[in-house]
Amino acid sequence: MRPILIAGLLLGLIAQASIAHDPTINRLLASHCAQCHGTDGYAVGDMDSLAGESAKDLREDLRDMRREDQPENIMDHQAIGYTEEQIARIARFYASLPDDRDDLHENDFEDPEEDEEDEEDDDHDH
Amino acid sequence: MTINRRQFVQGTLLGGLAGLVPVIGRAQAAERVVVIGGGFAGASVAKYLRLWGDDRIDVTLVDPNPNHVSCVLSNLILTRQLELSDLSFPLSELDSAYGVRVVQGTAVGLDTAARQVQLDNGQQLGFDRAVVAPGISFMDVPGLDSAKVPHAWIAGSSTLLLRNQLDGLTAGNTVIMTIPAAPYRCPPGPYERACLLADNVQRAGGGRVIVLDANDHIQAERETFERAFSELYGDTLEYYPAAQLEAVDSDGLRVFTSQGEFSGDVVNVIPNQQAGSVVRNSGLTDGRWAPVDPVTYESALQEGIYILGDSQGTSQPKSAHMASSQAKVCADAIIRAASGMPTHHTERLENITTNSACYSPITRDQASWLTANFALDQGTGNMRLSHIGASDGWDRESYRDMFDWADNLFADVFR
Repeated sequence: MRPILIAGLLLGLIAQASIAHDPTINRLLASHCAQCHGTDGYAVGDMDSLAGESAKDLREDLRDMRREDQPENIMDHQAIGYTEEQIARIARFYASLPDDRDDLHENDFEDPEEDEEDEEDDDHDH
Repeated sequence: MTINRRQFVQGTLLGGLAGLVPVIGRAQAAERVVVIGGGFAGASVAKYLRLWGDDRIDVTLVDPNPNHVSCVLSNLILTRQLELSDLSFPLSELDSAYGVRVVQGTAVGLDTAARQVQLDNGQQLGFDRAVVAPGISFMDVPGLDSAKVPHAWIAGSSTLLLRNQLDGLTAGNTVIMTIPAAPYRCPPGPYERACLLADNVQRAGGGRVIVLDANDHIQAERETFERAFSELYGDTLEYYPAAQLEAVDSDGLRVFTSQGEFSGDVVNVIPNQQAGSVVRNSGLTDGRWAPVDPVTYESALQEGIYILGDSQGTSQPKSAHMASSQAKVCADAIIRAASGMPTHHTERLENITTNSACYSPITRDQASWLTANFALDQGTGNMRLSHIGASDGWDRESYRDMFDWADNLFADVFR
């Protein structure tokens, strides 16, 4: 079971690397959310957690914020600071994490299979 | 730095595997990184080097104190809404949670040739790479004795001294504060301080707050603070722009500036600032600050030495949130470099960003906020402000949100 899983992971990675998808770039981009939303997106207090959210929801929320005609809160403004592609990368990273921090193992992020799913992007307006 | 395509592909593949598949053996010994300073920059980089780098990176953090006392929210100590203990974070948590070796001591020197950090107790710490994040140091002001005229700009005993002096205010007293020439730590901070000093004076029965700003105008959230100064504190607060501090009479509580002489009952002088002394003494500065490559935060002057937070000399604001953001870029870069992966390939360069968000209490129950994003300008190699936003004035909701913001920032850095 385990060798097959690893082989699958390796293939996925090689495929990713060959199209220059560097696996730590999404993590780095997403880490700048952590100062407010917690390490790996597990927030404390009343702040929204991001870990385990669907990539589509995160992407749509952030895109709506960055397109606000009159940005009025911190997140409207923060979202404007990122490109749509960066938003998609950040969303993909948080979607790859479990809802519950206890289920998190560092370096587990970015299951390539889940990535494939996220690539089906339904809104292509730029 | 140039990387050919083959190196790039190899680097990406190997590094990617090392990062994602821990079952693959690690041939080389762990990279030894010494971090000088356990503030927002230093604690963040130590934590994230271990979190992301795992056992590939051996991290030692050096700080003179067992706890870091946060400047964030520390103006609320002056209003007696918070105590120092509320803002003190034990650095030992970085050891128990992430395996960062924490050494209590003051780094007095950095031998870049021998790759050693010298501590005041004579101890030497060898490193492959060093991250230097000691925060600010103050420039000399003639006549200034900080034991009598506190700065309260490095949170701790100085903050308590100013609070105790403010506790003694009576009706009709005058408080003077001076604002340093930019760049300085926390752009909105002095104006937030001015508001809360005025609040203190009003609660003591009324009096004057004289704000002497070395800059030509308010440096952050200008509309908000101009409005607060006139609408909330107009009877109390007098704001003097372009007032360069020349000298202080620490016993007579007089301040001499390019706009004249002022005397008060409590004086809060925040001197001009520069990189921490270990940065300046190690050949890492050009002027007041240390030039770095913001793709890695590696010194422009010394290979393998990285400077983060308030001491670094990019155009990014010197704030806690920003320091932590920079630390993540640096941690990623160090792990990549130690793993033989590229740091300056297009995909990474296109995604070098940092951000900042902060709240400022304007009264004891209302706050404003400010947010900024930076992105790498690949043409100049510098960070460029990509967006900035600020609240329309201040409100109670923002004051409540401020504590959630701070709690998450503290947790991301120190826990």
